[in-house]
Amino acid sequence: MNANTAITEPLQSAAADLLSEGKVAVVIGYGANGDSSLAHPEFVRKPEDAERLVFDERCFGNLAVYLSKDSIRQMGKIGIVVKGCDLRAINVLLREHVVKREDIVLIGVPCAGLGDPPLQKCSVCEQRNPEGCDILAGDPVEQPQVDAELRYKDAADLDAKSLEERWEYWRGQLSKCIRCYACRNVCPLCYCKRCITEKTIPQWIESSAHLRGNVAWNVARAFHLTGRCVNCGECERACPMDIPLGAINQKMAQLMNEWFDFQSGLSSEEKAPFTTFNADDPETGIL
Amino acid sequence: MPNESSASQAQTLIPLDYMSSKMRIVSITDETVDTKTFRLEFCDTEQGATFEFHAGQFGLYSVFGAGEATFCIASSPTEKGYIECSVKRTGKVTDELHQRNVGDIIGFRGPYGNWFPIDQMEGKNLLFVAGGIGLAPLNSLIRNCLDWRDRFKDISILYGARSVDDLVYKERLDAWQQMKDVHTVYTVDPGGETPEWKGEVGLAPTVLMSMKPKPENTVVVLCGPPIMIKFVMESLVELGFSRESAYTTLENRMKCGVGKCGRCNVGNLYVCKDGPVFRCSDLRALPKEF
Amino acid sequence: MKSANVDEQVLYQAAAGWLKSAVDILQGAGVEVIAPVETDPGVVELAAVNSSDAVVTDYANVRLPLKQVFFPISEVLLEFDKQPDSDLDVKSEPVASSQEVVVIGARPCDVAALEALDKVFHWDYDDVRYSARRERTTLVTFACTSPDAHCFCTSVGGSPHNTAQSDVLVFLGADGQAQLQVCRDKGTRFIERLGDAVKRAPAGTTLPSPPEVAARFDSEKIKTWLDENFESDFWTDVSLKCLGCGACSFLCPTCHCFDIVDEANWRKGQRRRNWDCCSHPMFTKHASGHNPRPDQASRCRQRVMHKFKYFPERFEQLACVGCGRCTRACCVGQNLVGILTDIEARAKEGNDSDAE
Repeated sequence: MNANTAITEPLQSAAADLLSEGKVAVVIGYGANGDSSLAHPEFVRKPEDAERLVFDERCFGNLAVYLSKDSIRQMGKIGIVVKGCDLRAINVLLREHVVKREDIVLIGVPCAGLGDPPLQKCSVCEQRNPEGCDILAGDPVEQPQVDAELRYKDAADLDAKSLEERWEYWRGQLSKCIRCYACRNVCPLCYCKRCITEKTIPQWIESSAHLRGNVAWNVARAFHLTGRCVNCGECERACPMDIPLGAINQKMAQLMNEWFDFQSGLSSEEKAPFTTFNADDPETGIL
Repeated sequence: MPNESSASQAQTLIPLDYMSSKMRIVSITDETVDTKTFRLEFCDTEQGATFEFHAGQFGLYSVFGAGEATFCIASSPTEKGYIECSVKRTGKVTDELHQRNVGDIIGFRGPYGNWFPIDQMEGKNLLFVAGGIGLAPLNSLIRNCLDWRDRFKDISILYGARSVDDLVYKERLDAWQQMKDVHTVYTVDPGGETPEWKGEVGLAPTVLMSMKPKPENTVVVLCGPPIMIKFVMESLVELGFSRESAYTTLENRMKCGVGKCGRCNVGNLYVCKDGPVFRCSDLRALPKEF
Repeated sequence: MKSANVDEQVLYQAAAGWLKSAVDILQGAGVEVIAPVETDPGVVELAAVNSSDAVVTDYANVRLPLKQVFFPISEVLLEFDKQPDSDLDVKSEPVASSQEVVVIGARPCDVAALEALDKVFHWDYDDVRYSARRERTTLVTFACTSPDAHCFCTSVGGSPHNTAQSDVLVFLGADGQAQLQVCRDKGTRFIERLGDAVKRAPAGTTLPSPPEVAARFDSEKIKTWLDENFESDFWTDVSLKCLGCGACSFLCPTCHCFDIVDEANWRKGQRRRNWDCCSHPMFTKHASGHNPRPDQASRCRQRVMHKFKYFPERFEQLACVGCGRCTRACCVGQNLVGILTDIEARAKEGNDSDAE
C-alpha cells in the first residue's frame, strides 16, 4: 500500500506550515499504521511530525468524530484532514453548533475512492473534491456522474422484499448485535455526552443484547440520525458483527430525499427538515 | 491425565447463583431529607434465624424491577432478627427504594466483603470518627462494640456533619451521649448550627485536635467523605497516631459484590473482596485514580 | 507439551470423514455439538449444529470468542412476578441442564483463555452457571495452521499448538484426515465414543510442528514498566484516537466484566447479567457523579494495566492470550502489540539511561 504521494506530500507540507505558523494547535490526519489494512488517526502537534501524515486508499476513518471530544478540543484550534464524506459530517456539526467554523481549519483531500476494490459508498460519491475547505492538498480528481438511484440501492433491495421477509432479515441481523456501541462511538454525529441507552430513569432502551433490546437500540439510533446522517458508512465498517447498518441509514436518507428533497451535510447553511418548519411540509411520515 | 476441574483444586467454594432473598420492610426512618434507614426481616424466617455477618460487611439490596445497589449493613451482628441499611437517594434504585412502604418486599444478597477486625480491637481504646452519611458503616461496628462493652477500654465517638439536618441516627446519637462509659463529641460545620444545637461547631479535624485523643493502645476507625478522611488522618498523625492502627471503609461502584464483574477493581485490588474495610496505611498503595 | 515428544498413548489418528462420524455419533447420543459454521460471507462463528454438513475447517478463528459458550452475552439470573392478590414470586433461573456439550473447532488461544476466566468465576464464590457449563462441556480444539499478522500467542505464553484447557487437540490433515492428541480425561471419553472412526496412532508418529508466530515482546519487561508508569503521557497519547466503544473487550477471549440489570414491566421481569466494558465512560461512574476514571486516558490505561499487571499480580497469569481480535476489530486501527512494543522500548530506554 503506497501512499498517494500526489496528495501526501502537499498534505504534509500544509500541516507543517499550519503548525509552525501557530495557526493550529493540532492537525488530525491519517498515519500509515505500518502495513495494516487501515490507516489510523494521527494527532500531529509539532511541525516536524507532519511527515507522519499520509493519504491513501486505506484512510477509511471519518476524523470528524474527534471534533466533539473534549480531550481534543482543549488542545486549541484544530486542523483536520477531510475527504468529501467527512466534510459532510462536519457541515452537520457546524449547523448543529457543535463546532465553530473559526475553531477549525479544513484541509481537504481529493479522494478517488477507498478500499481495494473500492467501497460501494465511493461508487455513489458526489463529493470527491471537498468544497469550502481552507486548503486543498493535491490536485482535484475526476468526479464521475452518479446515478442518484444507486445511492439508496441497499435500501431498495430490501424494500423489494415482502414485509415478512424484511423483518426476518433484520431479525437475523439484529440478533447478532452485541451492544458494543462501536457504531455509535465511531459516528461523528453521535456526540451526546450521555446516550439514551445510558439513561436509567427511566431505562428507555434496555441494555441487554436480546432481540428486543437490540431492535430498540438500532431503531432509536436510526431515528436520532434521520435527517442528520451523511451515510459515511463508518458505523457499518466499525461493527464487529458485520451488521449492514448502512442499509438502515440509506433507507432514512431515501425517505428524507423523497419527502423533503433533502440530503444531509451538503452545506453548513442547509435547513434540516427536522429542525426547521415550513408551512408546506409534507405530512407523510407523521402518524 | 490432569483432572480438568480447577474448582476442586481450590478451597471449598461458596456456590453463587446471584439469587436475592426476599426481605420485608418492617420500619422506615427518615434520617435527613434524602436519607432513609430501612429495617428488614427475611421473609424466610429460617434464613433470617441463621443469617450471620460481621460489622463492616455489605450487601446488594434490590428493588425487583429497578435493580441492585450496594449498601453496608448498618445494624450490628449482635442484633438478631433483622438487618438495617441506610440509603441516600441518588439514582434509579435508591429512588425506587425511597418510594417503598412498610410491608413491601425488596431483595438482599450478602454478606460480602471483609469486616472490621473487631477481635484485634479487644482490650484497646476505640476512637470512632465519622462524617455525614459515613456514620452508617461505622454504626454497625459501634453498636456491636457497645453490645460487647466490657471487651474494650475507652470508647470515644466524634461525629460531624455539615448541618444539624444532615446528622443521621439522631436517636442513637442521643442514646450514646447518655451512656456513661462512652465519650461523645458531635459537631456541625460553622453555619450549620441551629439555636438549639448544644454540640460543637467546627470542622471534624479541628474538633478532633481539641479532644486531644491519646494514641497509646488506641484503634481509630474513620468513615466519611474522602476529603474529611484525608485531613482527619493528618490530624491523627500529628497527635501521634499511626496509619497502621487506623481503619476505614471505602466505597466504589459495585455490581456483583464478589470480585467477578470488574467494576470495583482499583489497581490489583477489588473493593468488594479486599475491602470495603482497609487499613489507612494500605490506602496509600492504591493507584491515584481512586 | 511439545508436539514432537508426545506420549504415544494419547495419540490417535482418523481418516477423512471422521468429523462427520463424530458429529453423527454425538448427536445420536443426545450430545449438543457446537462447531464452526459460516454465518456471514467469510465469517465463521461457533454455533450448535445438527450435522457436519455446515461445519467448516478452513478458517483462522471464529468471530466471537469461545467465552460466550460459558459466559453468554446476556443471561437471565432470576425472574420475578407480582400477580395481584399474591406475594411477589422470585425464582432463580435454572442453571444449565446437564446435557453434555462438545465444542469442536475452537482455537488453542480461545481455549487457553478459559484459565483466566476460571480463576475469576471460581474466586471464593463459585459462579454456578459458568461452572455448570464448564463441567458439561468437552473441548475438542483445532490446532492452528495459519496464524495471521495480528496473532501473538507466543508473546503471552501460548502457542498455535497449546493444549491448555483442551480435552483433545486435533491436527487436521490436508485431505480431511486428522491426528488427535488426548490431553485430559474428557478427551479419552470423546475418543472412546468415536469408536472405529479413530484408532491409535502407530509408534513413532510425530505431530506437525507449529506454524511460526514470532514473539513480539517480553511481558516481564512490560510489567516492570507498568509498575512504574501509572502517571505517564503515554496513556494520553495512546488514548487520543480511542473512541471508547467496547468492541475490543467484547471480542476479547479473556475479558469478563459484566453488568447486572433488572428489566421489567409493571408485574414481571428479569434480572440479567450482560457483558460490559471498562472502556465505557459510565463504567466506574458513582451515583454521586464522581468518576474515578473520567477520561479515555485513564480507561485505556486500565485496560492495559489490568491485562498485563493487575490480573497477573492477583491470579499469576496474564489476562491476554494473543488472539489479536482487539486489533482486528478496532475501527481506529489501535494495535495492542504496537502499544506493548512501544512500552517495551520505553522500558529499555529507561534502563539504558539508568545505566549511565
